[in-house]
Amino acid sequence: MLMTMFVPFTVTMIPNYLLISRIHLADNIWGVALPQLADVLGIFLIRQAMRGIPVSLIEAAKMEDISDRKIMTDIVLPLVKPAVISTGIIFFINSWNEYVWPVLILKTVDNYTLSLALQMFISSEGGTDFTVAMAVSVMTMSIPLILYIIFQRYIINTFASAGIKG
Amino acid sequence: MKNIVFDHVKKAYGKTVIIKDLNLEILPGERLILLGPSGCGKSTTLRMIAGLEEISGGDLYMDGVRVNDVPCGKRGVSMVFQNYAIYPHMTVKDNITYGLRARHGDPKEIERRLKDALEMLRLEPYADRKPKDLSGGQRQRGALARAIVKQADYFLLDEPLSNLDAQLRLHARKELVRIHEKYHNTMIYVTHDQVEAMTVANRIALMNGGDLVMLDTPANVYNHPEDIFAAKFIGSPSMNIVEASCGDGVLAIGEGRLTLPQAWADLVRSHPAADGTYMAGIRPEHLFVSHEPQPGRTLQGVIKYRENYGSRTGVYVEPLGTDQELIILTDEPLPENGSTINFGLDFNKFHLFDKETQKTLGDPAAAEAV
Repeated sequence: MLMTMFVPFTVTMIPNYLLISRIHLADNIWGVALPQLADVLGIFLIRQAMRGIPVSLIEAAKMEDISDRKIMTDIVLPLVKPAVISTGIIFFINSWNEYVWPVLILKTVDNYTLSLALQMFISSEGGTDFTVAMAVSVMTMSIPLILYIIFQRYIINTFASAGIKG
Repeated sequence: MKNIVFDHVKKAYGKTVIIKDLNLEILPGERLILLGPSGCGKSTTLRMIAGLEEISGGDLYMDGVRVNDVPCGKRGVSMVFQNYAIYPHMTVKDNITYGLRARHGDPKEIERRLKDALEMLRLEPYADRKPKDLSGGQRQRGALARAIVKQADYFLLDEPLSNLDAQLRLHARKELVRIHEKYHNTMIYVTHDQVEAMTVANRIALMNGGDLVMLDTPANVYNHPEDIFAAKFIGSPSMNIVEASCGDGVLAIGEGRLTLPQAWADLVRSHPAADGTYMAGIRPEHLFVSHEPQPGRTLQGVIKYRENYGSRTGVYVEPLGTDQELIILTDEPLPENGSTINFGLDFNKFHLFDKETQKTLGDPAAAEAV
């Protein structure tokens, strides 16, 4: 499973594009989002967090005749909440800043993401309009920055505990 | 009848067989302790009753019903785990009532049982705390409370006291017995601490290497062990087992000679050994120190080492003529290490074991009665 992490983006770029355009999702924000919904790093991080839950907690719940689904919602998920939040933030920031994949898929300016929009003001014909470029940069970076500041404790803990086996 | 019967039960993980052939009946309402060294299969046995382990062979019956394939939630069992397994994200109150609420019990009934459990285990001040704000002893009581409110017919405990300090363990033992006397369910308790087993059990199931060695009351396991393993496992310091030869009414250990009482001489005659040697067993507390040598009654030995237990001293003595060591528990004043002392044993508390089979030769009083 982890081997998929080693496949470079450039290898899957073209086949993915062909697939997205075949299902008529080109120039659509869903065309950008869909291929990125399942990511190995995310699976790995959450799995590591779940492995930190002692088996006896699950066994204790099983002894109370609680269904597997209820064990998942009542016991497992609350205990991996920090990992879920921080994985979510990391992925959000990465997607927010992404350039190569959106630029492939999105064509009309109306559908552009912020990173694509920023590009429009840098080294465009007529020279770089620094004022606008700066303004857009600040806007673009503000949201991830605020999110990181709020959730940094979770993010750091998740990456630290993925390294140390509980 | 809420009993449990193991009928030729076998447990294996792939090719590794943990439990070969277990036959055991646990009587309704009793406190049975599964006792044994690490790796003897006692936790595995408990988990088979709980339903957390598959049974590889044989049948397990609970209350007359074959439960091999019944899932653990449906066996009517409550369990206390060694690490308590309290949900860290819930308060003590929520932890205790989680199972009852999940099964949609009557809220009033749940409230009543919660109140009883909190009161009984003196957890009322901690009801709204999260586990991370509790001490080890409080968490253990929380785990107990969770098991109690279920009011199941079977109460399983997997080394619940091993993470507590010595003082707290004493206290918790009493509490467990008190709980059992109140609810009177069938309680099965796993431990490797033989003092715990002796004090809590109605019967002890002593296990070694996946086999059931002895199943009897604590008094019988202490006074009439079936084999050398049982003899050495119970009692602290454990029973002295030394090689001795018996013949013609004389017990010889090294150079010393003791007169064998008639009953023992008869028993030895009816169980002849190839070379006349047996393994003799006597507990440290049943040896006495004598100031003068008494021929036929005492042996001589050199003091090698001593330990002060507070109330008594444990002396390590090497009888003359042998390099085996005996421990004597005594409160007599003793000369220093290296001196020779005289000591004797109480033949009423004496044991003889066959050297090959390691099994006891039996009780001479019983032989006499025959």
